[in-house]
Amino acid sequence: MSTDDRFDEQIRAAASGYREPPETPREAMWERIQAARAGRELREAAARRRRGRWMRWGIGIAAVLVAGIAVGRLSAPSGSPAPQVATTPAGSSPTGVAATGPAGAGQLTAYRLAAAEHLGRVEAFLTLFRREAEAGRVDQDLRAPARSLLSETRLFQASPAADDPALREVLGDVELVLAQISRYTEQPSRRQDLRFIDEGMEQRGVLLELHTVVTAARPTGLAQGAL
Amino acid sequence: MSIYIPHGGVHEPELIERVLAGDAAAERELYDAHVDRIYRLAYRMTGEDDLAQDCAQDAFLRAFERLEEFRGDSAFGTWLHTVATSVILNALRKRRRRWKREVDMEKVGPMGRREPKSDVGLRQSLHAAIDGLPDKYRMVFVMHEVEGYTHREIGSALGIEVGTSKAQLSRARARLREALAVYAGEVA
Repeated sequence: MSTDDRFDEQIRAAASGYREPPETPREAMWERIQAARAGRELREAAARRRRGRWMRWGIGIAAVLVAGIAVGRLSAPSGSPAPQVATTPAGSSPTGVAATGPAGAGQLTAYRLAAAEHLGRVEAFLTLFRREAEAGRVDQDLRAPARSLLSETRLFQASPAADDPALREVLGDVELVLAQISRYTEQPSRRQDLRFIDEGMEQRGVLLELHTVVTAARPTGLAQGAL
Repeated sequence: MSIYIPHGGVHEPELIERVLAGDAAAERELYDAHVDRIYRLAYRMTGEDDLAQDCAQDAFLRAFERLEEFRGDSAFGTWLHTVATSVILNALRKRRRRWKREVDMEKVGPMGRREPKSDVGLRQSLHAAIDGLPDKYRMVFVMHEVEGYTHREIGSALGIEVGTSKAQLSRARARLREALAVYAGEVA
């Protein structure tokens, strides 16, 4: 027998005690397997219900967008030039912008109304997300609404609504958070990432920022010339 | 009492039919027949009871969920081990990513380079050296040398050729010999 063979023999003998397992906790594991299967069935049923709810939300968002654009077009005189937007220093109005000319104002108002509606939904979603995260219930069910809201946000970023510096800023923050949540919900096991998302939202004051913009855009805010 | 031989699968086709028909007792029998080997392997690979339990549970959950896909080309135990080894290797990858974020790996010294010249020293150094093997080599080494699987079983579970399993075991042994060179003189 060669030295290598003798050494392998000794390794084999010593390896038998490598991480000696305790007795198999078969009952405890079986109970958890049964509980997980029952829980999964319940979650699947809940997810089916939630999907229906988010689908209705999605349709609602699309309807608001279409309505906003239609109002903007109807309120603009035919043949009017493209809206002229002049930014004013932040703080001069709740959203920090004033539109020049009646046509521009009408169209902008429509876009910004739609954006505010959208941000209201984002605010509700982020509030729900934080609550679910705190309860440790964030899973792939949130992926569809997060992606849908992300797509809508990007649409608004590319629309005249983003000419408003305050709206542009909040849309940018929201886009970042929603992109992180969309990525997270693809791999919900990474709890570390969940903390980063939450801390990021906290540091940038996203919910407060959203709440301010959404509140300012409500009819009273409009009456005061906020939009 | 029926005796289930995990690799023989003598009663298994019938048992699996019963499970597919919704027989909860048959499901439990199938679980009982295989859970020890799956848990032991998971424990040997992870070294953590909680993680080993998670892996074993996940393997059974996936296996039961996909049981309809099991065509019976191989023994159920072989198929279950394919699921389990994949779950275990994924769990190890996730744990390593977590550790990378949490631990400054530079501060961890080389493994298996200790000086003690006793059986206890060899055993400890060997275990540390096994810990230091790449997961795939370690899986083959643990399955073959520690848990007594054949190369054929390892090949089926890991989706590799028998020859590849042998080659990986040989490389694992070579790495261990290298890490434990300090003891080689005593053996010779």
